[in-house]
Amino acid sequence: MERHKSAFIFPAFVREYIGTETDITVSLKGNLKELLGKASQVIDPELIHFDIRNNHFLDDELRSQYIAYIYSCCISDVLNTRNIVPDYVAGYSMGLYAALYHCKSIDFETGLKLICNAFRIIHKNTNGKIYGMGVIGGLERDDIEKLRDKYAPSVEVINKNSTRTYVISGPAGEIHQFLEQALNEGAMHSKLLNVTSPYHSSFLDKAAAAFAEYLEHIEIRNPEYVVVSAIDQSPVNSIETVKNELIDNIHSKINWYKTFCFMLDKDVNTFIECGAGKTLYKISRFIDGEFSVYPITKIHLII
Amino acid sequence: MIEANDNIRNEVKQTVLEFFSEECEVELANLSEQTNIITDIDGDSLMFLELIEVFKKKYHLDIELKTVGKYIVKHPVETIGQLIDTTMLIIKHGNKITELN
Repeated sequence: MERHKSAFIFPAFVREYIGTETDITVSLKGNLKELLGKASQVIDPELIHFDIRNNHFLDDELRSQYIAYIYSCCISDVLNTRNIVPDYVAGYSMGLYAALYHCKSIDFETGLKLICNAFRIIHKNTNGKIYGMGVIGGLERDDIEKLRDKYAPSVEVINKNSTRTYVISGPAGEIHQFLEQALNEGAMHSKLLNVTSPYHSSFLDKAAAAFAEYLEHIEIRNPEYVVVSAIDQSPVNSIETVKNELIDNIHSKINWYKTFCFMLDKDVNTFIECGAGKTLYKISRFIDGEFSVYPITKIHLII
Repeated sequence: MIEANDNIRNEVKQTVLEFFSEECEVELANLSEQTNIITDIDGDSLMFLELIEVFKKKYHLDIELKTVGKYIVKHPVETIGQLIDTTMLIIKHGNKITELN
């Protein structure tokens, strides 16, 4: 009999909330409040004041990363409590930290410290320059490359989300120009992301080297489940590969489309998006195949 | 080529309404042609992109996405009704949609 496989996928920072995230954790008997309390003691006292409607930190790049991580850890704990075991785990961009938490490769506090220090190191190594990122949907890769060459030569295409959407990263001015020209060229979707760092680009080569030094002092354990690298789809299954993935995740291009297809090829047909919002669910709509992605609004249907 | 008649419009309308009901988790009865996709139901342009893909497959449309994109830059879509009308123009004119005023 064919065995259905599952994967837990962890989103990066939240662009927009559905609005019911807190209620969902309550209905799932999640420990969001407890984790916010712990995070406010360990890393940032303001986090205890998180409120999805009135104080959601979406305009604060670092705090929104903390919240995304904390929320994902909460969902991870819910799944662990119910003994739901994935065949694969993958983290989209900075979702890697929560993915590693789920695999017990890092503990909750370590994840927060990694996010904090990665952010600080990145800012220190970008010398106060303003960078940005954006998403383009509806253009072919060739069209995007031509646009880049013409209007924004420093910008890097750092992620293929699907056959229809790509993510770009680079100097803020060029990103704005790129996104505007993409619309003129026929992109049906062109959106600036709310970040000021050029994640996953070579602009962060120095930052990645500095982060590698920082990681030497961090306790990391072997993951209990196989994490699929969003960079090259290799298995992240040892202390060494975890460290390398954490470093490369700062300055290397990712390919979510290939990562997702890799899991499909391994017969995964059920994906649980372990995080706030439903970004990965939305991305998956542009990927062909027989599978279901359950965002948190639908997670109760399968657990 | 498929004929863009009233029957097809009804079919398109039904597909669009069911799509937004599912994606935006809104009761079908609460959607109409006057519903604003962004402000009323928290939709986005990626949803339109997905719908175009759906109709491309359903009606075997030979149209480039960027052609649709160029048309939409000049003729923005805000409501479900406008989206249905634009879809009908795509079905009727294909890649020649950009030749319309």
